[in-house]
Amino acid sequence: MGARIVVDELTVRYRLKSGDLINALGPISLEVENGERVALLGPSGCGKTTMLKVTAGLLRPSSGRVLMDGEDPSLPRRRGEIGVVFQKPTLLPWRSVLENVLLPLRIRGDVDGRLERMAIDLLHAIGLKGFERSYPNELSIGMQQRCALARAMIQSPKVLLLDEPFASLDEMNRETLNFDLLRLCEPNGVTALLITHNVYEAVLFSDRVIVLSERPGRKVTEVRVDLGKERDPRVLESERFYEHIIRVRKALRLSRLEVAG
Amino acid sequence: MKSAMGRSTDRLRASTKEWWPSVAFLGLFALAVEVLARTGSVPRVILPPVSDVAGSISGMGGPFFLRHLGMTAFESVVGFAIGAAAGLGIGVMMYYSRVLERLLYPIVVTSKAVPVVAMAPLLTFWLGYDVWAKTLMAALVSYFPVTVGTVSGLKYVDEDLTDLVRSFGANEWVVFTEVRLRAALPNVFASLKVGSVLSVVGSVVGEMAGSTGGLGYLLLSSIYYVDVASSAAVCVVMAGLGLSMFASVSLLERKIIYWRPGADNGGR
Repeated sequence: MGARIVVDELTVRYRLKSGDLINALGPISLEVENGERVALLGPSGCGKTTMLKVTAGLLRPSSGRVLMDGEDPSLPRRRGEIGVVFQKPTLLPWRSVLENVLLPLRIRGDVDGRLERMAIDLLHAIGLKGFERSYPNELSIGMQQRCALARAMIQSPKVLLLDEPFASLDEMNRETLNFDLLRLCEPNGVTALLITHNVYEAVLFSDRVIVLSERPGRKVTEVRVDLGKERDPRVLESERFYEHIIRVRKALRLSRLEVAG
Repeated sequence: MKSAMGRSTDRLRASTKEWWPSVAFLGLFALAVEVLARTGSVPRVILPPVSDVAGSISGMGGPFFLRHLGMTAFESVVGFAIGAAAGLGIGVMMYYSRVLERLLYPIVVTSKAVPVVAMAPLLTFWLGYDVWAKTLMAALVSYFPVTVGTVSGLKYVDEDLTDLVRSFGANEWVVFTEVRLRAALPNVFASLKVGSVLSVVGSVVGEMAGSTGGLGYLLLSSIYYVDVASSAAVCVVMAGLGLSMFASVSLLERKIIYWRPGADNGGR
């Protein structure tokens, strides 16, 4: 089961080397329901990654707060209830593929034979059969990102945070991995937050697309995606999918006009 | 899958391919020196033939010479070990504590700013003529690059990696051992390789400042007797000692940083 995320009047400010304060994000408020998949769509530099880091409990907000089932995110993070996939695969180069997947469990000290078997099954399910003992530098970027995805899922997280996870991949790999991701998310009912600037990816993955303004990122509008929970490659050829794409693109255009106006 | 012997043969082949231009250049240089010295173009007392130098080296197998070599090797290896441990420790402390960084950084830089040749007589005066003054010299010259390499290695770790491990609930100790230290290893080993060669320089300079033995002492003695071939032979042995230290650290690097492309990760 997933968890409910509440973002309440969140702002993040950075101090530059020059001493100036810069508003990176917000104020922004939003809610993600238990088991819901939400995409945050916005231009580069609008504070999407900052938002994800605060949601993961890796960065303190300047004001406002994020709650996960009523708790500060650092608590579920310590319990291994949050899975994060970054834009880069961020695999530890000194650990094998299998060891990378098992890393979250090793850090919490609860690896046993059953979990190791589960990690191997997960790797097989995601197309990395035969690469369990390989090192990251022996894999392509696409394979490394598959491994990162398996690592995020090994703890059966309640919340999955994805920071443009397939941005560096070619079109074919990206499409395959998007469906792999959907397949992994579905049975667990995980609550997921996808950061992206790709409209197609946002619509394909989510139940709701939230459009952010340019920096400092604020919620401009949202579009509900009514394509059902289970999605397969045929959805890409459906009219409904493209209707949603057009709606999101319109929302994006309007948001730019709104900001400019 | 290749066998261990197959991998070793491949590595030897690759090394031969990599090193043959240097070996060929050295061979040509030696030939030129030999010809210049034998034909009398340059007086033998200034430039001894390479064959004479080789003869001196082959005559150095006796216990007398081995005692001197052993002394310098001991000072260099132990001094390097102390310097490397100190460099690593100081580097880690400087990275984690701004107060210690501000306190230690000027001392570290100043200690390096004093020429090693100037420090040698002072240390001999304070610590005496035995091996410990020279060991300290070797430690003093080798700790500086290791400190700098450690600090920069720890500083420039990909913060996404540390964020990732923190997202699994890791505490700072786990972040250090699992990510920061390992990610810093390539930089640390680059500095260890520099430090390993410098440690031989430190011990030899120490011996030349005042000693009862060691290659530095032997070099001064042969210069005193205007035995240029023996002096050159001692220099070649010193270079061999420095290269052996460098090669040992490189070998250790291949074993420890096994994940790097081209490293020895067979069997892991």
